[in-house]
Amino acid sequence: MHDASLEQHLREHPDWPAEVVDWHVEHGLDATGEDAVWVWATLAVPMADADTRAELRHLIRNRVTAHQDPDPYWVYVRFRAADELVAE
Amino acid sequence: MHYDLLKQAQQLAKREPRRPKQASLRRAVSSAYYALFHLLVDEATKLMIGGKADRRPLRLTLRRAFVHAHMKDAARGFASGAVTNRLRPALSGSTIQPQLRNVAQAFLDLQQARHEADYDMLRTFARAEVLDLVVLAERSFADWKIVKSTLPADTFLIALLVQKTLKG
Repeated sequence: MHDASLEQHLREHPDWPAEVVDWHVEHGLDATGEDAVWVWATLAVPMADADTRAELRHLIRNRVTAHQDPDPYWVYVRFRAADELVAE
Repeated sequence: MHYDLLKQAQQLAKREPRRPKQASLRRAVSSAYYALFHLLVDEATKLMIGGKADRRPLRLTLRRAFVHAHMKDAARGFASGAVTNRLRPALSGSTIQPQLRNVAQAFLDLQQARHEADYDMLRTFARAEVLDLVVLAERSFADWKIVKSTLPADTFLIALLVQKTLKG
């Protein structure tokens, strides 16, 4: 299920790296039937540095978890490239 | 086998440079998960039984007792740094290293992604997304080398098999 509210919350946060150009958030049940949130961060250009990506993944997870407090769902973070979305 | 699976994931994620096929991307995701799965199961069975050649059949038999969903439960505790009360005494006050938390988190991410890759045909995988998931597996291998044989890492390996059935 699409979550426009959480997308907006993420868009309004000022501290994301410039590479992040958009967000897509969905709620659903994961592989073992537990409630979860999927966050796709769309990147204008791929982040070549894996450390930077890992740090961003960590930040996103923490921010989404804090937003859902006090009963957060598990958060799955994925990255996509903007040009691939156009190609689809 | 886990290194071969990781290499296979890397190769599949980069196939068809212009228009990657969903089949290649999905198999890359699946291979990345199973690379980490088999690394951890291999390490766990060697920890429990030892690495001697004559014990290989026993190790291979024990490998079949690992349950993906139970492993997920154990990984969640280690990823969040909050293991269950039943498991906490085993850590003897040791803290879970960031690298071990990364391995546990990557296991969760890859297991879910593998489920989607194998069963959810409504999902479309993009190459950047898949390459990132493969890198997650690669980094887990590197992180594991750092924490391997420490008490929290050994506890994690044991938990992957027994956490669900711990009593008391």
